Amino acid sequence: MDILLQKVALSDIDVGDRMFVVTEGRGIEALQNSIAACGLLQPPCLWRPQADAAFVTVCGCLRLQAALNLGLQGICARVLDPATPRAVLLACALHDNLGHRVFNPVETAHALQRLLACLPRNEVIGHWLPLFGRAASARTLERLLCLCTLEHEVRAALIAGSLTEASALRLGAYAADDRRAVFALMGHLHLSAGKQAELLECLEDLARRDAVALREVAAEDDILQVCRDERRTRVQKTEQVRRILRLRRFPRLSAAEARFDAALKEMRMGPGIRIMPPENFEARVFRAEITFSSADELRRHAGGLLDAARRQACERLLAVPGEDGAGKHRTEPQRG
Amino acid sequence: MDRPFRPDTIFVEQAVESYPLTGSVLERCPGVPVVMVHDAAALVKQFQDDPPAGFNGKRNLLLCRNRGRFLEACPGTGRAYRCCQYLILNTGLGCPLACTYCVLQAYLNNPFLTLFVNRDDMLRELERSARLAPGRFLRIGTGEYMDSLALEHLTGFVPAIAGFFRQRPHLRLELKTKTALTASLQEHDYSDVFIVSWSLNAEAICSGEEPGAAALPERIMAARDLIDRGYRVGFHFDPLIAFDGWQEGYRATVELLKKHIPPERVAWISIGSLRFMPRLKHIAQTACASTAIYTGEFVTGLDGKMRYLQEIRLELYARLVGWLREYGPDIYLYFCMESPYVWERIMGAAPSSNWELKRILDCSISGCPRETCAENGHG
Repeated sequence: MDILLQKVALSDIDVGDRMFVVTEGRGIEALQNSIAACGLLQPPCLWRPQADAAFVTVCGCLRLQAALNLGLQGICARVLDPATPRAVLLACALHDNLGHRVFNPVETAHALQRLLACLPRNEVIGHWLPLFGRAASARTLERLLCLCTLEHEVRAALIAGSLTEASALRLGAYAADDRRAVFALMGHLHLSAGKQAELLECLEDLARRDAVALREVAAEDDILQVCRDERRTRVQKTEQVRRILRLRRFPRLSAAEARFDAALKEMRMGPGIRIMPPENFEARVFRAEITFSSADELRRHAGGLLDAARRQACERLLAVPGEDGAGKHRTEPQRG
Repeated sequence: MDRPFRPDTIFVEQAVESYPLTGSVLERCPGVPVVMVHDAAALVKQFQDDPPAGFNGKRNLLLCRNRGRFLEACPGTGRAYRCCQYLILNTGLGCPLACTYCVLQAYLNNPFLTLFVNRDDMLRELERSARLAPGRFLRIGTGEYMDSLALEHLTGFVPAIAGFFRQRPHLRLELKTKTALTASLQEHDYSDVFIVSWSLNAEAICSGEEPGAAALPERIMAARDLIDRGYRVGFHFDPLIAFDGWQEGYRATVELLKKHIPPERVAWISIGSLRFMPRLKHIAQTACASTAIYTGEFVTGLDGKMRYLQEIRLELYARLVGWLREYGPDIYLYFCMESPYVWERIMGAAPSSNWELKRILDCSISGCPRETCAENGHG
């Protein structure tokens, strides 16, 4: 492969032709400052299909953009032979980046899409996926390609890191209307990776359980109302929406928790005493915790705990959720 | 299954080409393409990592050696739930049925429907285990990693193994199925050797969540047919699912039992509610987009598996146990993987240990009084 180092006028480069550009979502401010200070140290790579055609960028689109922004007239560039196959040009563009940085998922997906246009699928899976740090499997390829079909704003969120790759893949499996509605809801909230997964799973479960579209679950009146409330911060909106959805998704667990909290309140225990229910009400082991700093305080709290244990509310606190204490779950034959 | 299973392709590990069971399976599948493979483990890994487009493991049969153990303890989880100490006989892996709740979807890393053809090794291991526990009653089942009868027409397992078990009356094999493929049990009387049991559910679950399984009435009529031939049968209401209309659904299934199955011929009925490893949900919903069974109110149980909130399980059990008591007051009902607390609430008492539960079930088969069975070596 012949590569000539030559001077090229910026006006001879078609910077709009992004056939081999693999960089997405990266800023150029620092690079521009660097070029302004020291000049263009690394020559970009260019190619043109025939002698009289405009040059096409192979490597260095950001450097070229920065040079244009700085008002440079010409640059020193490496120019590839017109006979160079497109697959080789694309490989040059990728290797120029792969050696020193991690591709974001959108860049990876677009690169794979382009590789598939000029290379056999097995080669893309076996050779290229590992170069992107991905498992060499057809499943991985299919999942990543799905990112190419996402709307611009969803891809932008993925590049910016506000949307995880797992969430983006999940959104990619939705119908377009559902995706837009769910993504719009996510835009109102402040969601960590874990909370994104929780939100999406909850919405999916509710849609599946109630046999309604995801967009209907995401746009329930109470949820919209929270999202529109300008007095709340995004963090407050997030917690409120999570509460609404959890209540809808787990009505009986929520009711059991509410009963426990109500009984606990009725027991009127002061500070320094905590009673905790069994996790998920699965085991029958409750826990009481006394915090004290003196023997006197311990005696006072222990007395308070014993008083509370004698109250009727304690029976309600300990009752099996859904049971009224009268042996509701006994097994006499019952008519359906 | 409407029709007995016939694979699309049979993969044969070269080392087992000359095994008798390999020959008989191939003979019973005329016209099915056969692919010889050097190393079954490598084939499994290749198809697991990167299955070819459109590959359906359930339609592809792999014949190979079992290099591990044939007999193992049922993987009952955790100390918090009672387990009946069942032993599992691994005759193969995977199942041609496609139940949406099947734990094998998340449990197995082998995408093929696999049959272990080194049956002599299996019998040797069984013999060794039986000798290690002289006189001790062992309840063994083949239905854990595969439906016990779904491939019977290919394997001839029942007649091949009946003699071995008949000579060892302290070993009892339970054949657990959702099919009505009982031909081999009809041809000869093996009623002293096998307990045949059916997984039952509400009609809506059988028809919607158990693709490939026999319809509910077919299962019950297959059980009736074997009862008429002298067999004792078992039933497993597992997994119970709290779907809309579950009360009517399960009640109707018990009514079917009442109509067709004399309770005195029922060795036991087990009951369990849907529980699953967390990762199964995604796998199962990907495999079957229409299933909604994972949208119930599941919480993390004490063994890390997802279970219905306890109050929901108590409701399910209370109703079903009530109907079953009405049907057969003397049938031994037991829970599969439930807490002593739930046992007490529903059954009135809990087995004091897993071993006690095992002892009671052993006695249900052997016929000895429960009070004396420990002396008889069943404990």
